[in-house]
Amino acid sequence: MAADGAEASVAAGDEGSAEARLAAKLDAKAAAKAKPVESAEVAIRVQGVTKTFGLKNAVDDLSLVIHAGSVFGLIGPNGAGKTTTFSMMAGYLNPSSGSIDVLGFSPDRVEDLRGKLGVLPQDALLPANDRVGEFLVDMARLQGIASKDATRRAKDALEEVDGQTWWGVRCGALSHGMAKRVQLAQALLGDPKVVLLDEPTAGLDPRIAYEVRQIIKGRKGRCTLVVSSHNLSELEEVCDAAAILDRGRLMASGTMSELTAATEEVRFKVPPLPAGPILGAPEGAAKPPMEAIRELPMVTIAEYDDERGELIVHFDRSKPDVDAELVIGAVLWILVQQRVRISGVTKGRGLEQRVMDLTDKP
Amino acid sequence: MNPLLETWLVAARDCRKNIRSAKGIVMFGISLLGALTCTFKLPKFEEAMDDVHKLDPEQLRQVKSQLFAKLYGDEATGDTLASAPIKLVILFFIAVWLVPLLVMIIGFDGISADLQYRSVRYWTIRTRRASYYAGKFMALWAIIALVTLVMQLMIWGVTIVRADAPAGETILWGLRFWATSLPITGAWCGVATLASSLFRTPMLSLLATGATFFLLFFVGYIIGKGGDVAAVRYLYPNNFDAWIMSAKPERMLEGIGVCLAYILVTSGIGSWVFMQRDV
Repeated sequence: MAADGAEASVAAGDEGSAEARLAAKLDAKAAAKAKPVESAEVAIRVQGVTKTFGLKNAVDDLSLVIHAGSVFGLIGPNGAGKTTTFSMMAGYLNPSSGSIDVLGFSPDRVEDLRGKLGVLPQDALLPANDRVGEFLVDMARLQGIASKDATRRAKDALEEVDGQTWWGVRCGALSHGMAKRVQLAQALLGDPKVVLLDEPTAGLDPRIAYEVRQIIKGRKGRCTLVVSSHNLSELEEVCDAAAILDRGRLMASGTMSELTAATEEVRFKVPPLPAGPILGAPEGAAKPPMEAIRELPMVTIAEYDDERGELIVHFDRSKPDVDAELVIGAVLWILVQQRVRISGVTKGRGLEQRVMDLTDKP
Repeated sequence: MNPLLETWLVAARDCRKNIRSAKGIVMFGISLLGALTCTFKLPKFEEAMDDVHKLDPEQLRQVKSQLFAKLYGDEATGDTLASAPIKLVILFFIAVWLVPLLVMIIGFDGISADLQYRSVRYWTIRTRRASYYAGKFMALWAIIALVTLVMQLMIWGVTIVRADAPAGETILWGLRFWATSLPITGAWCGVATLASSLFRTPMLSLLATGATFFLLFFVGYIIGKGGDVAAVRYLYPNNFDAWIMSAKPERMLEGIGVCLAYILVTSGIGSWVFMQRDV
């Protein structure tokens, strides 16, 4: 049975022994180093930003607030303006109009943001002739880390991405996955307060992508993370809040629960029965008992989508003690009593569905 | 962080990169080959000038003095240079003419390659863009200075071993010639760094650098020097050697000043544009 993203990731972490060890190691590191950031603080403020390339508006009057300590996702299809927004936050691109503050400073104020902002750019190649170690030491030195500490800090960052053995390897000789992790190491170098990650798991095999997600999770609470990605399940798993962009415009933003309506509806995957007798299934059990569900006091709307084989139940969360878990329990009880076959339960409509609803409409 | 320290860190890393890169090694090899060729061809050149060898030392000095005075447009300079070992003077001519080529080939992708592969993004969140630009310029200047110094060292060695001139005289003159080439090299590096920072594609940057150098040669040398149009003579950095080599201090300072102005103008424009642009 499917659960929400966070629960699923915990279950996955408990299963594989190597993965579980990595997760435990990262959690222990995080706990040791954790310095919780005051969540009410604003880490990044984007105000009415427009970015024009020629006649095309890549980003159009975008406003966002990203709170300190959160993991924030930038979501949208190709050409939505994610990378452009990301690049303006990092100071790579200048907004055509509007303003961006990172920790209260314009992103081009390098002297004020030095060491406080870490960035993993999407397509930036590592300098091919540099050794990994000397590249990271150079980056550490430029961040203002004293030369006597730079090597140690660079080694710490490399260890965090599990790349201790690559110190003397030429950047040009690294595989895609290794290079991505070195890029991640430079972004995390020196424990910056804000870390921007553009497609951090793009092109990585599932195991390394999982490890990168664990690293991101390990940083939760220690810094503000902004993650731009196409991988919606990944974002749903790691992000506290997100903005959905399409054609340069903001379509929605909010906490992950708000975006997925996880506190307003639950969905039950109830596939229609195939033709012919099914062992143990009562006659006429292909559809869930809608009347019985609608009669539940907390339920406001209940619908069955034949095409998708999905039962959608909206509930009134303003009533005392009503939450998604209570509704799931009550509806499941009815479905089980009626011997309806259930293949999954999700809180809300899922980020993917939400993005589909909001984007690419003519 | 102090902008000078930023510049130093960028420049040190870039020097290391240039020395290690295949292009740097090949250029270094070509320069050494040039110096070696020059070293071994010079005796044959001297043999061919039997008439010159028949002259007594004072007459020879007079000939050299007149030749250099004509070349540099100043009798005092010609007289001073007549005392210098001939090999070093010839190497100086070659080095000054070779510098734009070296600068173009080593410097064309200094910034443009970082822009093309977006590696520049690792730097721009950590250094002021002006410091990054200055670091790239300084690194290019240092590398070309190193290459020309190695060429000089080879010629000094040959001159001393062949007893063409006393060791002390050779080294002092060699250092003077090398030092004279430094401001000129700096001016060329300023133009190359500016051209490199304007393009995302190294090949375009190479073409733009070459075209700019040729334009400066045509306007500053062919029209300015050949056509005796003083106003445009300043455009061609290789024209400044006559001033820097001059025996008159004010003329020498003028030459150095013009080179520095060249560097300041090109670097000022380049870093300002680089600060405004998207990377």
